[in-house]
Amino acid sequence: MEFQASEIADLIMVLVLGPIILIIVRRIAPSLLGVVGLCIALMASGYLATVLEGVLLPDFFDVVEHVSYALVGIGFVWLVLIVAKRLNEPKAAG
Amino acid sequence: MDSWVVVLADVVSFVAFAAALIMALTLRVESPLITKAVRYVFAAAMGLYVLVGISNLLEHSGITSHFDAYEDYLELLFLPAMAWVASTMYLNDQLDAQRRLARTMRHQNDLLLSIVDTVPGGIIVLDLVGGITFSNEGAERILGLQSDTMGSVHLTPSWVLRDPMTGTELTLADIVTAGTITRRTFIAEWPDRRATSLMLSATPMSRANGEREGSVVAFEDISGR
Repeated sequence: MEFQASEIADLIMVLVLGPIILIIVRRIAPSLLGVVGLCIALMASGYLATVLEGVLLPDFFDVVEHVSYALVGIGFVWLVLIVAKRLNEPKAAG
Repeated sequence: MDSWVVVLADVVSFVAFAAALIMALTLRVESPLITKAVRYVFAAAMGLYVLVGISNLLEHSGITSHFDAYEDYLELLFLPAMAWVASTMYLNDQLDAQRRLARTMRHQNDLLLSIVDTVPGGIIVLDLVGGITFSNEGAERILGLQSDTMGSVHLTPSWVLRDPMTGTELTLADIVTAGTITRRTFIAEWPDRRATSLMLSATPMSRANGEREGSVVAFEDISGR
């Protein structure tokens, strides 16, 4: 069994800051809550897999970790595209 | 070499975060929420994961695992950066709402002043001790009031108000103390014995907490009637 302090710190960070970020996003842009929530959930699963791979099923959790990060990356591309599209849409009259 | 799935995931991760970084820096967005600082910190956060992706690619393709030890520390910076981005956008949103509110209130204030100055009768606002804190053009004309460049009002002629029924002399503080007055006649008398008959109404003003603030007094010159 092997834990790294930085991996635990990453996991704690996502568990503490993730909900705070979601609360803020819900207030300023509720329509983005889904994609941001998905990114944070995937990030949490990546960090959790990083911690778990030192305990059990190292190959499986290594794959989960890397796939999670890849999906988070895609999620952020999606997020930037949505934000850019929404902000550049012409405002409806009235 | 690790499984092809991990390497493929690393490639996708690197490409996606790099794309997000480039788009964050280059896409044109016009919003008070997304300032340059927000955009750059978001891009920097994406950059952290680009570096993580490079480190993973080098490690999993068997080139070097030298940077592996630094990955977790780069990842540690990511969420605080994103939290900063979110909280700054929230603050920008609040500031923008305040700015819009101030603009609307300024517009309404200007509109109200235009209306008040268009009224031919006099309107003055009194504080609790009877000091005049506002007067419209009608009041300045009828009572000879003058406001200075700062908008505060001072009395030029030393007129007094008199109740024509009782002959009692009244100060403006008495008007405030009287509370609501509905269309009562008063005489404004100047030291040179000139007199103007006024039809006067007054309404007490209160602050949002219910505390008394003064009175609004409206009057018209009825001398010619």
